Amino acid sequence: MKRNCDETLETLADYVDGKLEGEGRARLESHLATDCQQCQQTLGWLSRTINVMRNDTSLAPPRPLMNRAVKLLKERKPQSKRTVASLFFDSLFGTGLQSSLVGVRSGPTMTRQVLYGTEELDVDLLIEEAEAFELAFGLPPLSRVNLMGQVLRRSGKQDGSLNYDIAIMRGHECVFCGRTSPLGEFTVDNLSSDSYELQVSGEDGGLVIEGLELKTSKP
Amino acid sequence: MLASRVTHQNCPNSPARRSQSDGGLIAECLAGDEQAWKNLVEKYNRLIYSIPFRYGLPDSEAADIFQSVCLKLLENLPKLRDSSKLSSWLITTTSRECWGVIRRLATISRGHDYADDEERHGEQLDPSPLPEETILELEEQQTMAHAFRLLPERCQHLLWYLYYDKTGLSYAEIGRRLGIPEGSVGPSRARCLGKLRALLEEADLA
Repeated sequence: MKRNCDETLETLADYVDGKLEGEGRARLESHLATDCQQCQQTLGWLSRTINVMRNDTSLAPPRPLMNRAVKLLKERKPQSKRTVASLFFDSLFGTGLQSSLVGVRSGPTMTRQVLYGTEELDVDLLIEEAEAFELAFGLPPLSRVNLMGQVLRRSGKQDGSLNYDIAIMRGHECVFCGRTSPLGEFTVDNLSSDSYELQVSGEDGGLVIEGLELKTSKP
Repeated sequence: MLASRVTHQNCPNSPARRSQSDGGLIAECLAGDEQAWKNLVEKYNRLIYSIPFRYGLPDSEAADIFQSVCLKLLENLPKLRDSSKLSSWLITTTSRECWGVIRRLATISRGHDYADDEERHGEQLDPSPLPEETILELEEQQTMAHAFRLLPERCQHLLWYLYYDKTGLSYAEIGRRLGIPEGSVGPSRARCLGKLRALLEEADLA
């Protein structure tokens, strides 16, 4: 109803419900005949809505059946147990494969490469120093990093897209949640240098990287 | 390594996200949130359970189909994450389950002497897809029922007695049952319908 329209939702609902009679009904019908667009729209909506509710013949499943359906997720949860990824390579500590990237300094920024994997997936991470945040009161600048990553399937399963959900947790706090590109890539900027857990999940499985230190230099 | 920007969305651990949108619920389910799964099943339970009856199937088959479709929904959640029409997927999936049951019942009927009414019934069931108008009607009812469940409890009771309940109670009786004066039923109904409209508009479904 337009602002200068005196008709109320109550009157229009009375009309649709057949509760508006006599003078009130005649007055409303006369008003509707003046082509009040707002009232016509509201009347149309009320008629459709009330009609849907009145003619709803849908049935709710019996409670025991609902309870069984609600339990389905819980019953399936063990299948989605955490698969903790192993560290294969860390350029900072020279872990795993022979490193040619230990403490690589590319231009003014320090970059670190880390590779984690499971039997199904690999996660390649590049951790790059970001511009530090200056703090007040003479406190040392807060060290921050940019994280670039790519999730890759192990050999023989490269068909289809590589969309995965990425969650970066610090304790119980989710500091980043998002989805990779179809090539399995993701980027997160300006993370505080700290210890995180990175969770990867997709249709064909997932993994968890525990204790991921997002730092570019040794303590 | 080429890196593309990803957005802060579908965060399963953010306490602020208790969305009733399908996408939000599915993301929470995928993160193992049992409450989100309960909400998703409750959101669509009437839609799924009602379709077998539209095909003329008995209670026992409707129960099996309901359970089977819920399982399929759970299995397909990752694929359905970006689906804008979960209700359509559910209608199609439930209908396919119904066709399978109808075919089975028809085969039993043809292969044996009629053992009981249910098996005899199998030959008379129609396995053709539901008419488009029936599908639209089911989706409208689903949308309305979902918005209805998001209303304050008092509004749910009032609109239930006024419109969903088929016994045609008088305003006086509705007022008595809800503990409000008969004269308040009309104004309360208008307020509740206004809230229902706002909920539907919020979901872009009005």
